[in-house]
Amino acid sequence: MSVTKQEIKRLGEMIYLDLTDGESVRFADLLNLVLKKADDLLSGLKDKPLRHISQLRNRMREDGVGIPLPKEKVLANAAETQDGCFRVPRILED
Amino acid sequence: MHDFEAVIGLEIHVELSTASKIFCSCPTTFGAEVNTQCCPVCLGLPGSLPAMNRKAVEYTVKTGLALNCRIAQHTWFDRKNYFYPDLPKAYQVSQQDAPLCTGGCLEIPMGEKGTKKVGINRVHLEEEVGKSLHAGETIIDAVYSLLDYNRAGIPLIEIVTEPDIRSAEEAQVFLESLRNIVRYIEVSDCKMQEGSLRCDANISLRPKGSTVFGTKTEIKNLNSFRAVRRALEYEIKRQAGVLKDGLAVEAETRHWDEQKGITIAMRSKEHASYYRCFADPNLVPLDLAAEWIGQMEAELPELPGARRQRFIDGYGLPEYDAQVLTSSKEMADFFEEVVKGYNDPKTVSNWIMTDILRHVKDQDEETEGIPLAPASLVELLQLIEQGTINRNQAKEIVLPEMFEDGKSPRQIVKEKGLEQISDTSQLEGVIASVLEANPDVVQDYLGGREKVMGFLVGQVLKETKGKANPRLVNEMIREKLKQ
Amino acid sequence: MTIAGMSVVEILEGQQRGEFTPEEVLRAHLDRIEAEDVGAFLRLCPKGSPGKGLLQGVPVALGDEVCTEGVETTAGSRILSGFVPPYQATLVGKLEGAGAAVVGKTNLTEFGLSFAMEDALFQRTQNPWRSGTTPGGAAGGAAAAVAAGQAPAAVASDTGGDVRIPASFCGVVGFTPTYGRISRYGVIQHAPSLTQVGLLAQKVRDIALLLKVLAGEDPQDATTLPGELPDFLEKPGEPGSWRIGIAPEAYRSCAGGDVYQATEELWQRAAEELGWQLVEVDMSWLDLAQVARRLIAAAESSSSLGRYDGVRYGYRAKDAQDMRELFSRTRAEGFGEGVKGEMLLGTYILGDQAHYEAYYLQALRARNLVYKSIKDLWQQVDLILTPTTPRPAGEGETPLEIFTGPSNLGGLPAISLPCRLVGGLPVGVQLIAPAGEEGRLLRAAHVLEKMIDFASSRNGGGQRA
Ligand SMILES: [Mg+2]
Ligand SMILES: [Zn+2]
Repeated sequence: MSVTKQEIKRLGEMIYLDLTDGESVRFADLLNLVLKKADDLLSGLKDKPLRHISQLRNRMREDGVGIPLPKEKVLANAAETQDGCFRVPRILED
Repeated sequence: MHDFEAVIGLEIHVELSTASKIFCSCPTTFGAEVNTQCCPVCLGLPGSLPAMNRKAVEYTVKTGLALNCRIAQHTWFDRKNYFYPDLPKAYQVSQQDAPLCTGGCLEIPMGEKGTKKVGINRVHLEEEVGKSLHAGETIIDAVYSLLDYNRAGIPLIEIVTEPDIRSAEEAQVFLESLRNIVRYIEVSDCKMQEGSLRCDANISLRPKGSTVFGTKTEIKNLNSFRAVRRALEYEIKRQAGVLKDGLAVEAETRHWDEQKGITIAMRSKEHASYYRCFADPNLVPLDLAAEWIGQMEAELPELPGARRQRFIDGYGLPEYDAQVLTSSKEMADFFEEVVKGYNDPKTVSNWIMTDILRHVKDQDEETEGIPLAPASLVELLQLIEQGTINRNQAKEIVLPEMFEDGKSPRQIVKEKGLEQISDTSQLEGVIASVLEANPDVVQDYLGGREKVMGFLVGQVLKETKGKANPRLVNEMIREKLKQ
Repeated sequence: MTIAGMSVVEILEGQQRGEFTPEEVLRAHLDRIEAEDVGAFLRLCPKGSPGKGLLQGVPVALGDEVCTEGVETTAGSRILSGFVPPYQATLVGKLEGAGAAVVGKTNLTEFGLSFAMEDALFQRTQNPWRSGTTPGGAAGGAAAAVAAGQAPAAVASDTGGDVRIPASFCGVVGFTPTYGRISRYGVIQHAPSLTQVGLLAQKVRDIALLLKVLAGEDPQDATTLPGELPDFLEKPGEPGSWRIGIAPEAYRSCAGGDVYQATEELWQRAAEELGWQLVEVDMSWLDLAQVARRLIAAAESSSSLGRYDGVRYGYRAKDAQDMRELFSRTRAEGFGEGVKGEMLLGTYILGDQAHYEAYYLQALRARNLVYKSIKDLWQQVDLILTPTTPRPAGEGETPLEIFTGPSNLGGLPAISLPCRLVGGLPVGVQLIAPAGEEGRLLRAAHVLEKMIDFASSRNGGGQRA
């Protein structure tokens, strides 16, 4: 099973990343290299998956209200704002 | 329509009424100025990390317990990855793989048909997204959108039912019952018009008697109970039409258009994104001790079902009354408060179910509270019992005033001069002159036509502008004519 | 001795003796930065020493993935150029609270994803030992700054060796504590399950001092360790008592001959001079750990870097007509090639059920295998000793993180000490300790450091250019 250029493009669409043909070819090679190694070394392992490296449990805070950022600071890094909001071009549904 | 059976499952999102957001201390107040309830965490700024709100976990567990779910002893939070401008981190922290609550059920009242059990697949905790405001009529023709992240990070629970619902009516009743429970346990205000309760529905049809599922559609934008019912009624008809024409129902998401009263296809389900879920390393797992879960259970208030039964057994109310009175926590609380001061449950129930509910219904659909102090209804009932006013005056004059400006019944009676004349010396003169003026009627009465008594009492009331206590007048006339 | 180039402890002692003031210390380091341009800093932000404390007047460099309020923070990526955080990392507050002076933000590879410092996007950082040579990454700027005497200490994140690899290449001490020991709040990360906040300095005692200031529970990072802090260095060690795990076969197959030889000579000296007891252990899982760590890092990156979308902060593509175009072009133009590749890899292994099971879940299984294998080792040994890198700065086949990655997989504390020069360039030796045993690790490292006496061997082996 080998990753194709087309598949890389589809992955790019999933994470909103426009890719050139050249990039797609290079990334397909990269993935095939890494996945081959993974196939060789990881297949057949039966250990329990280790989901959390932290041994801590039940870390929670009390439901207290604090002071939010001032609105100017909220918006300070935005490329475009309007009426106190972040402005973006129109949102098309897929 | 008779050939098909509808198979419906609901997916309900409820915003929890914590004071602060799920992962940060930003307030959750509805309607605040845009982007004023935000911080690095809920804006998903680089480097920020989540800190779990204990109350959000407690509220989720309580909801699960109220819906008879099993509570997971070991659970964690996943990242559900997708892109949308209202989603600050490009992932929603949710619980794909290990929901806090699973396998519950809710019994809903179906009138004469008794009750029906609807399975609850899961209740899990996740975070709310921000809000996009579209410039333009609809999302389609907007040229730009504005993002407000005040709402981003409010704790949200997702409740998913089993596909046990069989009609639009059942769906509506289920949703009402669910909302009632969630309000009973006080974990959310469930205001559909403010978006703190939202519902999506999955629906398919199958030939009656079949056990296989048909192809389902998902309906979004159901913003009221009425919308849920209407949209499902429409969709059942639409799918039945498609199937009767020998065509296949498309697996798709459809949008309910409230104005037009139709559902519209949005996008095909085949393209639905896979969310690439995995455990969020920034939140440590929860190991919930059975003891702690027991404590949550102990903190639950009496739930609607139990309360309904208690109203029947304890107050001797008919089942119908008990059902109506417990259909909202506020109303049931109101009833019990009034009964404490005026111990005639059936009379109190009658007042609430007829006159008071009529006034409440004239108001907003979602106002659950009865805008009266229980003590003032007690006072009103006592005024009637004591003969200070009669039932008609109470209903037609005093009660509307009570709703209008919140004055006490006694004060209204006084201001309107409604006190009945129960003083015999005041009435004696009036009665004498009425009898004098109607000698024929008096003769009829004495001749055995007792019915004319009504006329005589009426005349006295007329003379006293309705203030005379009719029962007293009746007695006095009777007494007088005996002589 | 000039001030720039002193260790943290030397600076503190010199100030105490009244030999120089915090202002002079800062000036001396800023002068050194100007005089010897190794490209370590992306930007300077000296504010002077904020007050008294354990680190009073000590200049500290911060990797540019550490959020500094009001000072641009890019994590080495174009997609964050111009981003000025409205908040600061918990660790910055702790440093300033202890009197340290943040001098500037150091260069790193984009989001710290690559260990090859040549991949850094904004500028080239030189290895102070030899111009034109890589300092190693991802925290190449931080290591170069410490090696060049431009800051006596630096703080940077480590997800697989980002601090220890450049420490090894640049001849300084690089340390990563137990997972959760230092708050990650405000540190820009791509793979949070692997990220430990690391420290760089010239001496082990400096590290202990920095750790004392930075360690501790932070309500804003749920993974920070609560409870009493262990004694990091003060207690005198018992050099003779350590049982040291080594895996000669595994090292030989991964590391170059020179590096293997340097490491072997070192453990033999330690056995002879310090009385350390050598125990040969099985580390046949090194390759498996390397692949698993890479897959986990890629998967987490594909999610963690999703937020860079041009909406709220950072780079935004010009003139996009709709949201899809805005997202796709912003990310295509904003990210560098290396990061794109890792995100695609991560998306692939999470992107459907079959891939998830074959790769991501298998990587988590491998993680458990490595975690348990190392845990079992602690029955036999107190510490593990490995080369830090398979080679000194330069090209090679073996992944640079082959020896450093496992401690990130297991959340374990580890330290790299300069060992000796190989071909005129430094190579490090790494000690790994059980979770929570930073005290043991630092005491042993302190003893080993004295034995190595790198400063003298440096004179013997040729002064840094
Ligand atoms: Mg949801
Ligand atoms: Zn917030």
